Amino acid sequence: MCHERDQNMHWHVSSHNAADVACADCHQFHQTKRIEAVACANCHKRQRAKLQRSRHMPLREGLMGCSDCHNPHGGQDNAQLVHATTNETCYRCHAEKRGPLIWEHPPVRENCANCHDPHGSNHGKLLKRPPPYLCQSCHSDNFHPSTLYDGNALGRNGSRPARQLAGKACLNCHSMIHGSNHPSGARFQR
Amino acid sequence: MIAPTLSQVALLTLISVSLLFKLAQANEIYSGEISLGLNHINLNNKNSLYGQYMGIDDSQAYLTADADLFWLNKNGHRAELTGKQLSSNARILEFRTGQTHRYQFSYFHRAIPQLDSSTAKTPYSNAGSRHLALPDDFVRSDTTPGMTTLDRNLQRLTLDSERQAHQLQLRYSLSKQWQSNISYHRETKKGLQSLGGTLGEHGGFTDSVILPVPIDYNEERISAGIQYFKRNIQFELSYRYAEFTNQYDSMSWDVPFLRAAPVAQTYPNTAEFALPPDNQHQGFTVSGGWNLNSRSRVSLTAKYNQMKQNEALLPYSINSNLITSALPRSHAQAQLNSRRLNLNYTTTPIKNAWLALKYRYYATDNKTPRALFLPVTNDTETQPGQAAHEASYSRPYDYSKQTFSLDSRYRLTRKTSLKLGYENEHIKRSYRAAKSVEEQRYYTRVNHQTHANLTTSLYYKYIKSTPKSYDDSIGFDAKHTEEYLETVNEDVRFGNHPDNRRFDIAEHNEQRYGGSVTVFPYDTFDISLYGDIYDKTYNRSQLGIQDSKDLVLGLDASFSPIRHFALQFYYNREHIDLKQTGRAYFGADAKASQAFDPNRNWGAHHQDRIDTIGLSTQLSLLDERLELALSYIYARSKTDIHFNAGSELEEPEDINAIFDQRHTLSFDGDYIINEQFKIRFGAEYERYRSSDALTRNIDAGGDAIDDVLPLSSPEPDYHALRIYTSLSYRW
Repeated sequence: MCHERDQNMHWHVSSHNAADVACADCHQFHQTKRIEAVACANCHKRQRAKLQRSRHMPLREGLMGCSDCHNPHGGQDNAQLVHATTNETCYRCHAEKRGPLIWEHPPVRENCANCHDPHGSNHGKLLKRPPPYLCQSCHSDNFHPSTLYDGNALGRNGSRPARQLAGKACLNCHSMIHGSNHPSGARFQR
Repeated sequence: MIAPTLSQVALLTLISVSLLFKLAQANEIYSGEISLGLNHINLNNKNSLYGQYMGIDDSQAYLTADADLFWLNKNGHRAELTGKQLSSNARILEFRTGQTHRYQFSYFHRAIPQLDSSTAKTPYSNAGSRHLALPDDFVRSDTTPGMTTLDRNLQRLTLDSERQAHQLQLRYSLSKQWQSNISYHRETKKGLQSLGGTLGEHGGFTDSVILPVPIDYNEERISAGIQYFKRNIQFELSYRYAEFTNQYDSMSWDVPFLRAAPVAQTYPNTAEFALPPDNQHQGFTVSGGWNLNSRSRVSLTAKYNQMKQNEALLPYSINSNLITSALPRSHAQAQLNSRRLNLNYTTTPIKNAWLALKYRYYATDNKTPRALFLPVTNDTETQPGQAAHEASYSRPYDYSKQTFSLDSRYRLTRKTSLKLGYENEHIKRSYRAAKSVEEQRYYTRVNHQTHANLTTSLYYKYIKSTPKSYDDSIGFDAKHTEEYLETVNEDVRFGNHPDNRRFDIAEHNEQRYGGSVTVFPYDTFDISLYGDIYDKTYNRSQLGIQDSKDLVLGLDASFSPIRHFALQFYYNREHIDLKQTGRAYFGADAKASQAFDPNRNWGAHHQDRIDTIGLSTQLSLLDERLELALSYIYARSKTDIHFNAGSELEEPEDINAIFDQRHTLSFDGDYIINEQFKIRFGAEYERYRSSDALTRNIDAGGDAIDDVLPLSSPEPDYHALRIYTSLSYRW
């Protein structure tokens, strides 16, 4: 009974139970201190490596723990998140992204992890790939969205760097990429 | 940057002394440790990366204070206090008190600074204000090189923020079976961030200035819940309300550009964008579990959420002379409801078998009114009519997911277990090219203890995602007015290219497979090898992502030959290969011909190579009075992008895009002087270098890009040495 309440209520259906993980695999009995960064890394080696990347959340500084986002005893989806979806979990700290907004960017509303890797990345803002290539994975419209931005666009041959590639790339102009509440913000520039 | 305050030390000391006084009187079980220490950091370059979450961007010394106190009396009354780095900008404090099985009151505080840039420079003199003003003598120009007074107008600033959270919680046992809880949480975030402010027409003729934008967020949350638990049944009912407020609903700025050459029309003097609006969120959750018998359990979670925001809408433009039509409504009236239902059944039908059946449903219901807006493009253009390309209907987005899954595990023999699973997910989306997508997932894993000292594990997962149909005109038609659509020829009536498949909804197959081998040749030594491959193919994406392959190989080892010595090592290598294609088409008239010309295709092959090495060792000497630890982390990544292009495009040039490398070597020692006192000492050396082709040569406030005025330069390479010592008192 002690271990079927609170955050353990859904242990039976958790992916850790499915993987036959035992309590003693993570917990040292009668030791109350949090050991999760070490305990989780024992199995989640891919995430352990990602935490060492240059862009990361403050886990290795000890200011966050895995359980800020995940419930290892049985979360609400396959990633054992503490809230119903990835986004609802992210909104807990990033409430400004919650909206809802007049102009929505559907992949943003649906899943922050479409573009960001929360465990760590070598690209700014925890992005999976740098813009404009990340944006061009979906956007192939007339004019600049479909243009090839290769090394020539960095201004190597006497020309000037293209604003769609250099600096913040697409986000130089489309800065409200998470959605806009401005009546003229249909293209996430306001 | 916020300087370390002594107030936290004073607070800690006050609490500690109060508690100690109480403990001394209680004469019960109590223990504690308080540490006071001094850190000194020597950084060769001011930068925001080394101390990104410490709030330290330059050489400095600072005090630290840690506390770990515990008290328990024979009636079950208890108190605990844990504090980390209490005198620094990045700190955590937890205090809990109560009586076992009766009540618990807790307070939690966490402060997280975040440095974003130490190199920022801007010509605006009042960063942090709602309106950014240029100096009177600023020379506006069509391009950044023409802004002749820019150099002398630039001012340095630091882009950073600090997040502070405070939480109070009370848990109270109403009876043996009933428990209630209530909590209050307040979180603030203040500082400066960078956002691009744009002027000009869409597409080819825009200019942008990267602005220092104030952050002043506050969120307050209350939650309350009641729980019931017995041996066979447990349930919980909870309610949560959160209110987010942003001190700044908008931001305006003086425009440094004159016009986007070669367009003759000059820009206005002022522009404006909206910032995140205030919002409210509330949710109800019912969750429960019932043990049907000793082998089976059912559980459910039902959740209803409501997110709202009703900010007064800004005008179409801050420049009222550009506005000819009224807004469709004065306030946002935005509301998004969501529902979650999880139903689970788990059982052990026969000995050594485990089975789980799951049904999961999640759906949003966006109540935000759909309306036609006539946007004033970037505060520059006169408001369009309904037949214009820019006239846009808002598209309040909704989606739903239904997932059925079957998960099983069976112990075939004493040494071998088998896991099998299947999932079916059906996703519906509004306004998107794939209205309905079905995803099937099959997976299996075998764990086998080959030998007393050898275990192996293998897994395989197959995912197939199939949209029922793919038609990007759904979103295009829903966005534009009928008057506009009538003016567009059928053959070019699309926004996104019809051969492009957006990766999150595109048809794809994915295989994930891998395994691990762990060997324990001796009690004192173990080594494990692991590997994973994630291989994804987008079958029908003529344009967009074609395929991606992610390979991870690694090795873990630990060695502990004697009681007082241990060594751990790991190496992780990751290869990410991703291929995407595009087709360059450019021009109103040329759209029809160029968009379907395969000689205008291009391809990009992204290659990421990432190495991570960790090594740590611990040594205990002098009858465990001296503990020494040494650790080393090496993290290196390199991203290259290789291009190819069709005959109608220029010969492309590859980009050796991003490289970064970090070495961190740290040494830590604890010396126990006597039962009460302990000295900690140590040093950490870190060396970091990086290069990013996309930001290289871009200087803060510089003129490297004609039509963008940047705010920051790339952060410099650094090496840092931190030395620290602390004295602990424990009892």
